[in-house]
Amino acid sequence: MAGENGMGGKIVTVTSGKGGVGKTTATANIGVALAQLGKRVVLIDADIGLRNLDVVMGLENRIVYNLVDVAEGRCKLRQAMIKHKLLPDLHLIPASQTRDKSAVSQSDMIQVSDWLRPEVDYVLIDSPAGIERGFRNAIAPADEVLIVTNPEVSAVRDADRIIGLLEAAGKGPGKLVLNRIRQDMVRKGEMLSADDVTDILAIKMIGIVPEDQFVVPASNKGVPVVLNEESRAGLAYHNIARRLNGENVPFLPLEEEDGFLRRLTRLFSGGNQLLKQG
Amino acid sequence: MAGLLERIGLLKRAGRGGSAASAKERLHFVLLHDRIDLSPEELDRMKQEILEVISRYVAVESDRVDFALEHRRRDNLIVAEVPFSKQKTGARQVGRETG
Repeated sequence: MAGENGMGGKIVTVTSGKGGVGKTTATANIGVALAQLGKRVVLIDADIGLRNLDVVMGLENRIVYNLVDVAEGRCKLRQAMIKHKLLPDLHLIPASQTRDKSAVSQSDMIQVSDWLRPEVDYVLIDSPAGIERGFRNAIAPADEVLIVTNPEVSAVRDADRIIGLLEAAGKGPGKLVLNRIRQDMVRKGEMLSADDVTDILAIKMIGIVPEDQFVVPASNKGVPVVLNEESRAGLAYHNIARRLNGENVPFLPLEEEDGFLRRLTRLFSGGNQLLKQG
Repeated sequence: MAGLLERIGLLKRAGRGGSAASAKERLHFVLLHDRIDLSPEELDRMKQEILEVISRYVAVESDRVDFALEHRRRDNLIVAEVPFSKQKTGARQVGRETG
């Protein structure tokens, strides 16, 4: 069992403070990757009123019941769990689109997580942006918290705020997912590097996800990018899932699409071997 | 050659003066102030009170005093540089006046 408390599955909350850094994309992809590793996974969209995890997962047309229906006793937990099309051990509990954050409480989140714990290996909770009630709800049941950020001043600042709040709530410090990094820009000194961000925030990094041309088409289609074997971002999410699962996966050098090393590696490996990364 | 070395990562990245450096500098600044969560007035008052205490014991060269916020790893530090003169008689006088 993945849980630390001997009670079954582990509850992992994905949060960020700032919006638009890739929280929902990260939740979807790490969830799919864990399911690909043979884990039983439930994703919960805790962004009540602004649900998005359903569309990122391509499950928007299957929703009948949602998290608020479960909290208010209108359906059984099972009825709100939507099974993924390709991965039968991966389920989504969607958010309500017509209600707001006040429709769910911290104890609702803890209750739902406790129901799920004996039946799954991982529950991934997609937190709303911000530091208010929705965020508090999302972290309430967490055994572990992942903080998604981008290599930008505003996103790193908000991540720092979140780390402080997590520590104050006894949930800290969490682990960092650095999303949308461009190694070509880092090399030119025009983007914060993973080391810069780690130095500033002083928390453990669990993944470095490169900017990748496959991410937008994947969300257009509702097929998480981790299912695309060509995608470097997909590989990075796969590695995050393995690290979350306790594997020691080394961080290998990131290279841009046609970087020198990539070409060199291709030359020496007969063209098949893609440079593994983050 | 330098260009090639940079590309394969054997040299530190060239653009140390690039925008990433200012991002880092600005982040250090905003995070220190976020973390201490005090207004400039409160910071100033704290500084004055610390100086008052020190002045009871030694003669402080007040025009050379420097207070700074610094961040090392996860530690946020208030770093005070307070030069004092060797004339301890002066210090004792201050102490007697206040006490």
